[in-house]
Amino acid sequence: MTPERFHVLLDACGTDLRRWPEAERDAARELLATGPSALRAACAEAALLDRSLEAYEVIGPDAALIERIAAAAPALATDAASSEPIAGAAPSAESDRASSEPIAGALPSAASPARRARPWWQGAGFFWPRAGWALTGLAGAIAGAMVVSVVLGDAGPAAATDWQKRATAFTDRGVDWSEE
Amino acid sequence: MVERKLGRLLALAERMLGRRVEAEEVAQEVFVRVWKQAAHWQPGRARFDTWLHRVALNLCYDRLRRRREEASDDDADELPADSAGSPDELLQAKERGRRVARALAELPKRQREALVLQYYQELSNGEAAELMGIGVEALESLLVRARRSLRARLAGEPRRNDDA
Repeated sequence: MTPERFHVLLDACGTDLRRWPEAERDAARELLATGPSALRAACAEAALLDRSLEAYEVIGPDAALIERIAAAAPALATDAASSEPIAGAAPSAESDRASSEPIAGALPSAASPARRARPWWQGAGFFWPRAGWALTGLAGAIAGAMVVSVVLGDAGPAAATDWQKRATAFTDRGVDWSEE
Repeated sequence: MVERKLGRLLALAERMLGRRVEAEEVAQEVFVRVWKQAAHWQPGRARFDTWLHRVALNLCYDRLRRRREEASDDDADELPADSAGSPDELLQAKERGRRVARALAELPKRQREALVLQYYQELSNGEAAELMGIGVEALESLLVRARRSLRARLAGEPRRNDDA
């Protein structure tokens, strides 16, 4: 990986390696370990934006909304056989996603404030837990550039609902309509 | 199923539309389509999540298009409000979230869609690109512009006219 490519992915995906293309993660770690220190400074800057993005939380659905939707199900399902297919909403072909690495628990929602720890791009080793539930972000701004971030086992706060904890595209991968 | 999927759909719609009420309407409409389509679904043809995202995004775009056609000057009033005038009422993190929400709502919609899908919905670059009907390189380009624009907006820098 070239430093230029590293910067592109950092600018596009932020400091959380799970959002990087899986095929380029190892090269990124290696480059960061052996490359110019400017890369780490760039990570610190990108982490500031990541932290801001994490702050935008969406409140989960309330019971009334769930009930309204669920209440509509039986009647509509009964009529489904005679309904017309909906234009523009046809099921698309299965995606060719290369990665199957779970990222559950990493949802940077209000419901999942991360525990801060040493970020992957900071310090020796650049450990990244493949199966761990991790979230990288910034915990504090750094004068001189100290960024703190996360590697954790459970990002869900007490307020988190079940859907917030488990509903990611990846936890649901492999689930077809037929299985719902 | 509703409980498991609704939260993600609601988050997607709210971040795309910037309005809670409309997001709930979109989420409801998605499930209406789910129920209607149930009998037509062919097992193994598509990921349910992918399909849900596509339906939700189409509905969001319908609403965004309608907004543009109506050209309402009131739109800005309904976006998440800047809380600069009421710092005492909000915690710092919540305030920052509102600023991000507003900055996100001001992004060109393709940039917003890219960021919402890849960052908040946690789709891979390949998945997000496929949903948007573009290549992965184009998605990366949108993400780069989205994040740069957000950074500038949050820092209070002048906006660039980068509507793509």
